[in-house]
Amino acid sequence: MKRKKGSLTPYLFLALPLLLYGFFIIYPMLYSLYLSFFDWEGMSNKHQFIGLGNYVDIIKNDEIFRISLLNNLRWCLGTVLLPVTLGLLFALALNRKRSGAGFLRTAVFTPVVLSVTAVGMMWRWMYDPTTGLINNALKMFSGGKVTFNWYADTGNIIYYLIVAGSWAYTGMCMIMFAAGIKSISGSVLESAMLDGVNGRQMLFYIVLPQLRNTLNTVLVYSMAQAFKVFDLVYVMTGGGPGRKTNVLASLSYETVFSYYQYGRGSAIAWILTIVLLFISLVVNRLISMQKE
Amino acid sequence: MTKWKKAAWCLLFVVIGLIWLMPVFYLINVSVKPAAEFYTEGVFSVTLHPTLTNFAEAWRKIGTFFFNSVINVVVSVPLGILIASLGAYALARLEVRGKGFFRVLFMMGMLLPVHVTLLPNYITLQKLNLLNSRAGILLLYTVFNIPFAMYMLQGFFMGLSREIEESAIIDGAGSFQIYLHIALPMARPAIIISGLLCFIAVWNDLVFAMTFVQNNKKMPITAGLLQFVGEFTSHYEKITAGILLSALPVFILYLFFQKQIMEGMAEGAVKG
Repeated sequence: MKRKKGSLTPYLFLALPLLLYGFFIIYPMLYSLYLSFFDWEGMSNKHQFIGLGNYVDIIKNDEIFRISLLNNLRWCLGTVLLPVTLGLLFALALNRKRSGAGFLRTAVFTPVVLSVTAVGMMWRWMYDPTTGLINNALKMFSGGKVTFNWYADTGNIIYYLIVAGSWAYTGMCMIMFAAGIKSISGSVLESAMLDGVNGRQMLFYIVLPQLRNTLNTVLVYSMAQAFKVFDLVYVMTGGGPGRKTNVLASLSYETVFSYYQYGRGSAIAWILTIVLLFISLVVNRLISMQKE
Repeated sequence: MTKWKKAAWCLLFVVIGLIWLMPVFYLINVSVKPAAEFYTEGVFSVTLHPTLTNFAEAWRKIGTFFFNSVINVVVSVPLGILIASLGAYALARLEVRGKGFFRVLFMMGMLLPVHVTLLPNYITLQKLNLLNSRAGILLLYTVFNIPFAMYMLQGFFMGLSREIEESAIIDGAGSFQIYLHIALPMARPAIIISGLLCFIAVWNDLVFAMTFVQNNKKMPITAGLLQFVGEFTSHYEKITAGILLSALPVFILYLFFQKQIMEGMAEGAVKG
């Protein structure tokens, strides 16, 4: 295209988005990094540079941090076991045009568009010991013998949260896999069909190997999502009881907005950021290197 | 044989779909029950006297929050997309130095956790005297709509054929005219997808809502719903009605634009 070199117009286009983005996204990130090197209690005037002090203290001595990180890792594992697996199965089953497929697709994807706030409240009701769906079903089928109180089952609460999260996330995995399956070229499938390949062979020797890239994408994206979890934890347990169901995001939030430890909370947010960068840069690279 | 097989698959799909949505069905079932009946008959019975009183009562409490979220969406989504489209057009079509850098910079916004921006933005809004104000939350929603919209629009602009634009240049049109009269109208499909996903993101957001708005009158629906639930601890017949009301706009959107929403989410995830 003919256009004057060094013209200013393109930069005028870019100015407004860049300004807003810079001021409310880039600057806050850097400011948060800066704050993470300080011992700053928001309510007091204490504001002291301590270098990596916050990070060292969090990693070495903070029991709740360790629990939160572990919960994020559990969330990763749970996400791979439930939504990723189920999503792949659904996508494979729904691939061929069968009647009823549209309904199932719509049903599984519905929770994805609902707010996590609504989903969290719904599951709190489902688990509710007296009026909840699950407990009433248990009572009905066991003649009142079996009941459960999810909130008293302290060690396992995080898994109940993961189940709720999985219900809401499976549809997302399903459509990512569906897009991948669709992109497998028709000619490959056709020539396989001409060679007399049966359904099972088609699945294991042609479709699944071709889905490898998609699987990598889904895994990396899902891990990142598992580390970003916040709303569901906040709505269902608020990190409790005993702060034991926190994840990194909720711990950072709690540290800043409930305990007013601004420096420490920023450091936790940055640890979360570093984990996410690690997943997207390093893990992504590792997986794609393995392919070659 | 094949006929039976088909029927079996169909049955399987419908059954799994119904099981998947079971929580929602029971949620609806509870929400239309008269309160007294809910406490005597429990969750499973289907009421013979369905009522909307629970909805009326929930609406009285969350109507304002609902309205606030409507304003948030109506203002921040078009504004965010418009601003993003300017940048997207520049990065896709015009001569900008360091294009690659800018692209990565804007894409970072989709990867990063919002938590890293919360405290600094809280401080900024406090300084600007915009905490607990409509302007403050609108500003933030607008800005946080930019990265995704920009990604979608940029991809779309890059895929457009240059021919029409080139003939416009020959006719003496400037960059801005081409953007406004040619590129933007042609980008309608991408604008619709961005609009849908930004709508869902703003409507469903909880973190900004609870961090930047503590004022009851300006509170968006998600944070308002939490408060409402706190008030009605274990009055689930009302809570369920509130949950359903809060989900209604997004659900309607989903029914009409299912294909675009799925497409947009799948595409956004690939680069997220």
